[in-house]
Amino acid sequence: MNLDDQDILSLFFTKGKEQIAFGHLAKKYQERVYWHIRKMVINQEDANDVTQNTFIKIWKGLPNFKQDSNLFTWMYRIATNESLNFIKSNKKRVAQSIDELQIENKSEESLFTGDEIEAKLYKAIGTLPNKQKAVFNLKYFEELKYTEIAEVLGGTVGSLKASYHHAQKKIEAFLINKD
Amino acid sequence: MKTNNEHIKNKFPTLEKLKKQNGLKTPDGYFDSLHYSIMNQINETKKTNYISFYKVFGYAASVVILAGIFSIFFLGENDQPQLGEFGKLTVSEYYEEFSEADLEINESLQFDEMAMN
Repeated sequence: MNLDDQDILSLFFTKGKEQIAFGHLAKKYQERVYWHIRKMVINQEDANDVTQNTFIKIWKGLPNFKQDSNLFTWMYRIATNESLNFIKSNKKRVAQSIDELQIENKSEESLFTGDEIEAKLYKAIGTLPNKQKAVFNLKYFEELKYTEIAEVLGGTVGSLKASYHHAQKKIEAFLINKD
Repeated sequence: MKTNNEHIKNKFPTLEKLKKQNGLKTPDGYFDSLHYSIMNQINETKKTNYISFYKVFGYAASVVILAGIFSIFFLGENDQPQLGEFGKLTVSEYYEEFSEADLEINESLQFDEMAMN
């Protein structure tokens, strides 16, 4: 049974039904949240940890969730903040995970099946400043609207468009030029 | 006239070509186990919340009991006999007590007179 966000929230605010509602919420959004985090932190185990922390924060924050914003953009905001905090405090580890993508691809049990150019794409994303990285990922991979990205990251639609355009330029140049 | 998408394709062809691929994979059955882990963590968080509530309640109860004991043993100790204790006094003790009180009243009256003069 796939409940819509409003039904999930109504269930969550019914006494004694919080956990059932949260089960529906996790089932519905875990893949989207995980993939958003995974594309930011790259490594599967790190993404797993960050995803679990994100859902704990969602669980703790949900009683105070103001329904004037979208549930999924609110969740993306938590996931993005958790990912960026992880990247900030584990810079070397994330850089190493990106470097390992090309090596990993050679093993059979690899969790990266992409080719060299895809590995290079993650390397290029890794060079972006953190907020620009988040803008790029939310637009390029998640295909969120600029208004939704504004809800997730703050800022105006105009500044986000400019940020995404700069990110695209940098990445395209990286993909074409760098060995 | 070129559409916005065509413009982007021309400007960032490599990015556009890669768009629907991400190359990253998860272990088999990962999302089932992720859901299970998330719900387990939520259970743990709930338990921790209950424990901390009982802890806080326990601390509060201990403070109240200690405060009660303190007030009985220390604040309750008074040289002057309490009202309820007059019933336990002997007649001679009773007069002694009241004569002491009269003396105190006389002393304070004398002090007031001195102050007036």
